[in-house]
Amino acid sequence: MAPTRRVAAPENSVTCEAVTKAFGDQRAVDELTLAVRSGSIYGLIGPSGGGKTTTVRLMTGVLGPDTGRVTALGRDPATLKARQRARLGYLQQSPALLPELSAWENLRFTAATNGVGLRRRRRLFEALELVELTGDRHKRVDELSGGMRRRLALAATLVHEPELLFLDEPTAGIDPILRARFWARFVELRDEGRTLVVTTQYVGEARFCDRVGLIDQGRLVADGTPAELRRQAFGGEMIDLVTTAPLADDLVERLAKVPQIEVVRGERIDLRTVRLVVDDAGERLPHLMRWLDGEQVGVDSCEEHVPDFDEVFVTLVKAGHHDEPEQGLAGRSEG
Amino acid sequence: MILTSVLAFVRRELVSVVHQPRLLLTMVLGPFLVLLAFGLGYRNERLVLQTVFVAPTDSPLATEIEESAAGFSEFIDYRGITDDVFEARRMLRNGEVDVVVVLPTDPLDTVLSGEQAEVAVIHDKLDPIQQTAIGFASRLAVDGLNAEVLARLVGAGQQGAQPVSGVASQLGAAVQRLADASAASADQEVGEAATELADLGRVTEQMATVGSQVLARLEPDQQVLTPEQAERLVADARRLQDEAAAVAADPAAGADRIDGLAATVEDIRQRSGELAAVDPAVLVQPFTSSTSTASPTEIDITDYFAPAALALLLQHIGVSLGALTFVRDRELGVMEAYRVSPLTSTRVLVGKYLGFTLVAALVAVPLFLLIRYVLDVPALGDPASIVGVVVLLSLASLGIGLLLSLVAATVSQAVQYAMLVLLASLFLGGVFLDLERLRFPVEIVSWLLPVTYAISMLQDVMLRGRAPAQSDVIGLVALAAGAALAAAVLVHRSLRTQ
Repeated sequence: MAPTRRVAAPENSVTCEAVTKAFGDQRAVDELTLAVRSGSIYGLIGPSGGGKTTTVRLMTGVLGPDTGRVTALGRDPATLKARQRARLGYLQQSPALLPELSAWENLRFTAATNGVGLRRRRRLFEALELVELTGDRHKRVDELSGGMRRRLALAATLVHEPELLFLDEPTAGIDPILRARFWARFVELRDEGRTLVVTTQYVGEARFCDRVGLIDQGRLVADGTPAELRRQAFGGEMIDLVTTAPLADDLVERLAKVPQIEVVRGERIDLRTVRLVVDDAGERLPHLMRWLDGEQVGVDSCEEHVPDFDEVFVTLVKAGHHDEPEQGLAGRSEG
Repeated sequence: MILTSVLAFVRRELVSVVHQPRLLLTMVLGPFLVLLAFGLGYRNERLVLQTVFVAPTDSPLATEIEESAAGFSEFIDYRGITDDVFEARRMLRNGEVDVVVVLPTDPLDTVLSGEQAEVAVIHDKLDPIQQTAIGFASRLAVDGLNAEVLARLVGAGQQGAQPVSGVASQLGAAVQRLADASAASADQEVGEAATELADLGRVTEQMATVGSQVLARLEPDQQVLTPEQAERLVADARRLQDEAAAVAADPAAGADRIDGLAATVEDIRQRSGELAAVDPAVLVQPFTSSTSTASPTEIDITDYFAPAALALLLQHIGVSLGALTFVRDRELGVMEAYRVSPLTSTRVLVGKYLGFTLVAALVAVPLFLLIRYVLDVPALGDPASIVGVVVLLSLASLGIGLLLSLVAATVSQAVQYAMLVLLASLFLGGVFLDLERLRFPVEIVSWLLPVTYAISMLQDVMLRGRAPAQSDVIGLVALAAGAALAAAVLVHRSLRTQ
């Protein structure tokens, strides 16, 4: 569910307070409230058409909210002065490039329009190196593949070294090796003190984020650190127990009632395997091992299970749908 | 930062064009080659219409036409005369002739009954310009025919008046005898001379009356032969008769009247002499014309159209570049990037104006040099004025293009708008048709086209060698400024949060 807390501006580079944006009858963003802390990576994940791009466009000031309030760098983004806008970087979902110009000329144009002075050659090369396009810099954009264009667009977004970056699906169509490199660079940028708002459909990339907002049907279904989201999805942390012999049902029932372990939920995976949800896996694991030893249960393995984000994502989205069954998919608009 | 971002647009537009050398070559060489082909291939000759005449074989005009058709008009190629109107129409249908001229069946009766005889001209041209030319040629031909017929009538009138001249000399002798007899106080001789004068006056009156009736058939604008002249002759003859009769009745008082009689006879002699002396062709065609141009040089058809072609091309380049730029930026998502960037509407607009003006100059300079030195089109005026017109034209055209771009929803819509402007310029911009002929509400469209002013200004500077008309300069500056202002408002609006 979308949190309803109010956000404090000073330490946040971006805030949205009860923001709603509709296109015709369709609400693309619905009562969305979130805050992006300065010097952090905020990941916006969610299904296609869930409202991620509209949220980013609201944050950049491209769109204005119907209701609610958005701030970027402490101000309504629509009122930012030119000098303040020079501190923003914006990668659109579809690369905004000029097809008749070369990669180098595109980069130079974007740098110049963002106020980078004439001594920008080094920056241009650095940006091209990051996206591995140095060798292709003289190719015209209409000669580049889709992935190369995406990389070039990212380089163009970074070339003026913005303080607050909005990256709408920067890794879409990029091979896994380069994706990892991109994320390493994003983390570096974060470590340099910059703030990044990144949307992605690769749910696994949420692990690189300091905080993640899950948007579905325009609503913020969940908002927290990756660990918090896991806990939110499954009700706690998980321990997978695999025994050497089949587990009797009564043993599993008794295990669920052991006070020191405080099993929130138990799920039998197969005859020898059971998954236990506990509030804190690290704390409960020693108690569990002692109890099993006392019961003389042969243990093959007993360790914390860290679910991947796809699993977290699906669970949270499903939970969101259960909470708002009447809404269905009607609220979906652009990505 | 401002200069950097403005220069970014200038470089972008220039590089975009430089990356398309074929486009640049087409923009320069295309219009030049069209003009060259036009100059080489256009037959700068009069429209000569192959004409067949239709008249009954016994028509008095048939012989007239055959004898003098070639001289009717320089616009008519005489292809014969027939009495079969259907045959003539068949020839028209088959393209053997351009025009059929059907002469009236009984022209003399019609004319002598005081009505104009109609000459029908039939053609099958669809082109309004050719239709006008045919109407013009037909009128000239009919005028020629009228003149020919009138000249013959006048000749006949003069022949009718010729005996009057002979009588006039007899009148002189009779007056002299009267004077001599009166001086000798020979009353009988005075009476005889007076009676002779009265008889001669009667003869003069009759002849002058016949002449005046013929001359009365002439057109009112041919005043030199108006019936008044002949009527005065008739009146003089009557007065002569009266005066002579009075002398004959009272020879003793003849001495007092001799001077009056002598004066009347002198009047009659002069008028009959004037009447016979005038060339009939001059009487029916009293005026001729000669034309010359005020331009300091000879202007041929290519020279005339070169400024219009240059203006039209530069306008089209400006409008097209402008019309595509914002709508394309919008479709590419670049406008959205501008909104988040430090760019302001002024920087974007100034950058685009500068960039596109340089592109227009890239086209205009070589094209002008080709027109000037290869086609040998004169450029008599101040080169700075030509540069000024080109710059103003480019700015105004860009402004209109930018407006179209900001209004258009898609690239194809912007292209359509640009084509509409081109079409409007062809018909309403003074490229081919005279703007004087446009009625008021439509005139407004022509005032909104930069080419309207630019053609007039370039013709003034290049062909007449004088400075552009102030009204044209004001019009083009106002158009450029208005378009820029409107574009600035729309760009500002489109860069704002949606």
